[in-house]
Amino acid sequence: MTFKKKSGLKKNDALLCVPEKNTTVKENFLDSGDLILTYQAMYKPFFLRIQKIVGRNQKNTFTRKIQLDGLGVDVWSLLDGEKNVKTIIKEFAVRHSLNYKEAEISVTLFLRSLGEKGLIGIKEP
Amino acid sequence: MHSQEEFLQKKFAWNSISLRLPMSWEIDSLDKDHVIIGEDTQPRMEIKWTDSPEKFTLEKYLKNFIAQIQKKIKIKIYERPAPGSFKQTNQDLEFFFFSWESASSSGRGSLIFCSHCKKLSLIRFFSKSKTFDALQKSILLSYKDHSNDDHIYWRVFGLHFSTPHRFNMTDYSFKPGCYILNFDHKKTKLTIFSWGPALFLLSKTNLTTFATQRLSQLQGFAKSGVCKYGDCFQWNYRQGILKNSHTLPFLNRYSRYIVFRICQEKTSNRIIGVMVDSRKKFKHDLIKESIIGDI
Repeated sequence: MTFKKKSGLKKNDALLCVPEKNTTVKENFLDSGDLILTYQAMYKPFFLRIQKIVGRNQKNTFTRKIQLDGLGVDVWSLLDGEKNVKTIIKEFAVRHSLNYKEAEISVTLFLRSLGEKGLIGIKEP
Repeated sequence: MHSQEEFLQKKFAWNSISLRLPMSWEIDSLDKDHVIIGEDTQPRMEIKWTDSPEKFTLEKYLKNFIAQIQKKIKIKIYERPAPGSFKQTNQDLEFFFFSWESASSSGRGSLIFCSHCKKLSLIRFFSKSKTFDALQKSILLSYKDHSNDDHIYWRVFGLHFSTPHRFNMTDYSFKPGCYILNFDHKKTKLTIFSWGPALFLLSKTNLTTFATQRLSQLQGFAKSGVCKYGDCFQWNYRQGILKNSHTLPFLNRYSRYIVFRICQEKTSNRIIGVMVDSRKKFKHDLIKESIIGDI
């Protein structure tokens, strides 16, 4: 039996991808400067099955909220659907006088978590 | 003709070695005695260094080192003559030039032996060219493996400080937002902290509250002072093996003396902290030799 290696994006190609906000996400700015994002998340299949057994109203989604701090808001504001990941990292690094490598790790981890929640999509260049 | 400074605007210093690099080059991989530097995810150069044994002959030592490197990183090394226009300025350093090739890439490089500190370093450049270009020569010429004073200089990821020469690095951690480097000498421990971005972290709190939040072991009150970066705060306390055990004379010898200083470096937008943990009563000269010492 042979295993084929997954043909994932190379780092350089990934940095050229353009992140885009999910248009269904609602934004609510707090007085503190933090931002609350409200979005619809999918129930896991296990809970859907329980709903079916119990016979409740079957909903596939539920409302979730996450709160972004000042740094998160900064990255979120840079997601205009035109800037690629590399540009976002550079702008973020300049805004906060951060080293490029440190900004790269922080921003890519943050974008990955937003992507996993379905708050952003990624366009390949 | 470009000067060296025009090519190489970034200073890099790590565990006693230092050199100058182009601005766009970034650290890809970092170890105590090994660094890979790249540009746009492409490797540009690799540095590996080692201290010489007490007794050795240079020829044999070079041969062994080359054999080890060839085996370890799976490359073949071929000796080459020094490039024509290469004029070294540091009389302590002896350069041996080579070309190298592996299954997927090739390039040029140099072995550098320092007669002062007996350190042997290998620098290899990743390039298809068969000759050294001006940039590579400038990088080699900027290479230093010891400082002229009693300090080791560190300049990585926006962090910039020096440590007393006798302190060895025991471990380090570079996580986004928090860097920690640990050093020791005999039974004294020196820890350097760096948190960033400072303006964001201190937007809703002050320096002393931030310090006590991050380092819950801090005891007592902080004294304020001024250092070369601006205002700083310092904690001095004794920590016993048990709570208040330092008040019992027979347990005194087990207690440790701890000093912690914290300040904000505005140019790099970072918060810098130094902690010294010692079994003997702390000598203030020690902290003066570390990063925020000019107090």
